Amino acid sequence: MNSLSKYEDVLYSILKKLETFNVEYAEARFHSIKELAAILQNGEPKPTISIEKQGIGIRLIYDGVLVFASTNMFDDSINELIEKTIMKAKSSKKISKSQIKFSPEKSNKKEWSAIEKDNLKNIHVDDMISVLKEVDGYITSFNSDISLPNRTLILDNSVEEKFYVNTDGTHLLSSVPRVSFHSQITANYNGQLSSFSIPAGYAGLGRSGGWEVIKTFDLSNYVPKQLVIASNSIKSKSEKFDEDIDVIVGPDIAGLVAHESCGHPFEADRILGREAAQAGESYLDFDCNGTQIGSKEVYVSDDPTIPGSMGFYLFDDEGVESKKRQLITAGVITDLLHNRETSYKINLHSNAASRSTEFDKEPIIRMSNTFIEPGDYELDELLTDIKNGVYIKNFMEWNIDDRRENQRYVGFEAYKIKNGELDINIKSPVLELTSKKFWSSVDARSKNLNFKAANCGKGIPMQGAPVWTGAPDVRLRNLRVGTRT
Amino acid sequence: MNIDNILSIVDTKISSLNCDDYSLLLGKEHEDLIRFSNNSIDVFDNIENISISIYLGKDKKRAGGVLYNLDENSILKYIDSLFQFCNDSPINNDYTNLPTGPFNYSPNRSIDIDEVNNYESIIDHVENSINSGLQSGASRVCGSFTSTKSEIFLKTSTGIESHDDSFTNLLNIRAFTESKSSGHGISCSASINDIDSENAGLIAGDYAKLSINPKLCEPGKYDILFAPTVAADIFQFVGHAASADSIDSGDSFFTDKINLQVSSENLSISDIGNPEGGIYNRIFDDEGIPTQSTNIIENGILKNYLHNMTTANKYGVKSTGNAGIIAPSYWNLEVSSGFLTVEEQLSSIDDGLLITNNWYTRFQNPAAGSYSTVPRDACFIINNGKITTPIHGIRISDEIPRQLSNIDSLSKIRNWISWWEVEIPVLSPSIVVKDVPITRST
Repeated sequence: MNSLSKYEDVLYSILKKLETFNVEYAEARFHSIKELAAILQNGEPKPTISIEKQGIGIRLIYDGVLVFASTNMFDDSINELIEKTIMKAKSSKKISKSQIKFSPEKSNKKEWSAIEKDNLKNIHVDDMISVLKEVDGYITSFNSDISLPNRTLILDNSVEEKFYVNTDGTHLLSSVPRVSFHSQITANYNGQLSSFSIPAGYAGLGRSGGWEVIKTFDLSNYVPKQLVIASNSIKSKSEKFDEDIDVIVGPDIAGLVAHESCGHPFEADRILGREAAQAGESYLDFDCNGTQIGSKEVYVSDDPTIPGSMGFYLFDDEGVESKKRQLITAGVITDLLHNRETSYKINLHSNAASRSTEFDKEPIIRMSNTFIEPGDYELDELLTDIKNGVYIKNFMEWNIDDRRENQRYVGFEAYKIKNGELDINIKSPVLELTSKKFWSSVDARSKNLNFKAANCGKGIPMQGAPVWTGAPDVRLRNLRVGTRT
Repeated sequence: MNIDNILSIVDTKISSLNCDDYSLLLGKEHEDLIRFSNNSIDVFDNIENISISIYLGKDKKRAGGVLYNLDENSILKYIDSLFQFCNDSPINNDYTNLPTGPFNYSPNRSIDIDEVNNYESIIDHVENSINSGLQSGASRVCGSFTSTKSEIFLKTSTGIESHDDSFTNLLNIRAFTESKSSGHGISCSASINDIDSENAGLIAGDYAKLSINPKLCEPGKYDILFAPTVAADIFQFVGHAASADSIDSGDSFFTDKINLQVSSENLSISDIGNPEGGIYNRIFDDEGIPTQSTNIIENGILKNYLHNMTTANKYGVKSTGNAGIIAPSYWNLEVSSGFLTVEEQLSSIDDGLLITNNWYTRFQNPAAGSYSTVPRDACFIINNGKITTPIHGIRISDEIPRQLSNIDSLSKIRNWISWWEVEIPVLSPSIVVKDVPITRST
């Protein structure tokens, strides 16, 4: 992180300049993302992509108005930008009906980073391409009565570095490398085309760390196994269920439910209406702490401190030290995701959920790694007493309304459960239910906590934040399961 | 460092590498953004940046990327790295040279230099939209106003050297009467003077008021009047599916459909780089080919895919001016207008729904176009041609190819749509689609 120290003078000169305008608060964040991506489409390489995005994001409160400015020009134009920004803050007062204030937080001085054993700087394009060619080989040699005519494979290495200072005296330097794999494949079965992804659900395999991460993906075992599963799923037939049945959802679906039906509606800015015009609001009220919203088997947490996770960070982009947030405990709401603006409104300290994805985006409340806590059972034990049900392991299609009440997951890998055992594959079973119904129907969780990498969208301009979604297998009682027609 | 200096440094350095092809695209952007909620400003953003996109091709190997670090040493170091990445990349058997210029470009039709970056006007528009929404019955109003000025400069190894400016003003507003009763309004224009903030607030507020106390709606098949915002969301996936890259990746519902009927005969859709009254105009693509008007669907028949040089060469056609070096994509979609007023479209529905906005469109199988999306804001039951009961909690679960074939009518009036859910602009009418499956949560 020594390379960041050259920005110290410019960052502190920004704070100094802002203090001459008597701002109530100011922060300056140098933010760099260096990314190298290799793409193989149908065996042919797309151009290798190298992105180096960096600049300074500045945020301040002037006369109760919150302002964000950014630039990647580190010269006298920064002073001009600041002066224009202050002028615009004065003009904005006309449409400001409330004074914005931040919770008081202790200052922090720290350098931190994710563990990087094999430095990504030493990884060449041909290293990345050889991984993709190996995966491509598994696909082209796949022997089945379905053919796989199209495939797009992406391997992405990135390093995110930040140097953050604010007028509270906080001074933070950080570095987070990440590696991720994504794929999109099309199958032809009896003339019908089916697109799917590995992992399913347009998700990715991803971790923070150096090139050692690639080994954890275990692509040589994972991809061939997923191809067999995809083939069976594509060839399966749908099953109609006339009555409510018991359902087990796999970690991919349950993890996404944790993200969509707990993480997002627990974002305090969304509850207060700040995202209403775009990402929407929440089914919760701001004073919801202590409310029972699920069965006693529901435990959901958001934890940015998990080593190796995509959403890993030790300090957020308001300079607050991160910690695990227990959002639902035994079915009761025990915490929300806060930044300094929302925590001020309830006289609490922030729990460090404020993140920005790039230098030219304002920090907003984001999830990190949101997951349903594991339980005490093996999958076999969850299956045991289900006479007639379904196990929906993963999905492709999903969505949820903008208050996070009505959601839908359409299974990709799914099985009928008969007399306590997994039976035949079934095609595209549909779970379409409310968040309340989901959380209140949970009666058991397996030990098998599993995470997937995802890109979480929020804000305007849109910010795609790296996160993990995670869960064990989760059993739900008496649900209506539909079929995609 | 000024732009001429940056261009000169990049050009001199790249020229020394003896690449077979190169291009450099310098982009300069200034954006003012106001976000507001609960009738008050939340934040304003003042964003300025310059970036350089560089593409290198040598010995059938390719690399490209974007750099924001603009001091001379960083530029030189980045280009050396990119050249190394290019050399380390495998040979691409579809390698195609950049087009040989120069070309003649039509003037950009969206330019309106005197009006841009007028911050007081942006504030006035935000204030107008809030007041208008409140006056029409809403209790709270939220939204965003984004005003962007973009300049780009392109130079290639094949004799192309040009620049382009574009201007985009987007007002997105949402008004609420109750938590489940809301209306949505937008106004999009290159010129800030053409933003109709009062009307956007009025529409959002009126719909919010009409949506009070919404009821649940029975699942089933309905004839639906989709407002332009929803229709634009459907049509944007036509634009995506028409990209030759989507065909190559296999996630298009237009694979092997050229010259076949893919929609009702009343539908035509074109991609237009430089439309009259457009809000995201480009006069050349990222490879320097002049942008054009390309018919995607003409009277129900799929006529063209969208190409850059590489995909055009592979498919044995000419580039349609839609590069993207990595993949071709559409610039602005223009959907044909119909012959009915929106009132006449309403009258054509005996038992159906009006859906004014939607979000969160996701696909089960992109190759088949099977998807679902969630209506939001005002939705109503239509009985005997009249808007009646407000409804909520529904979901559209359908296939886009089926919907395209079941378009019963398109309105005379069209609106430019660009907002959070429909990022690339679509000039869209309202459409009536027959027999759309509707589901809801249990």
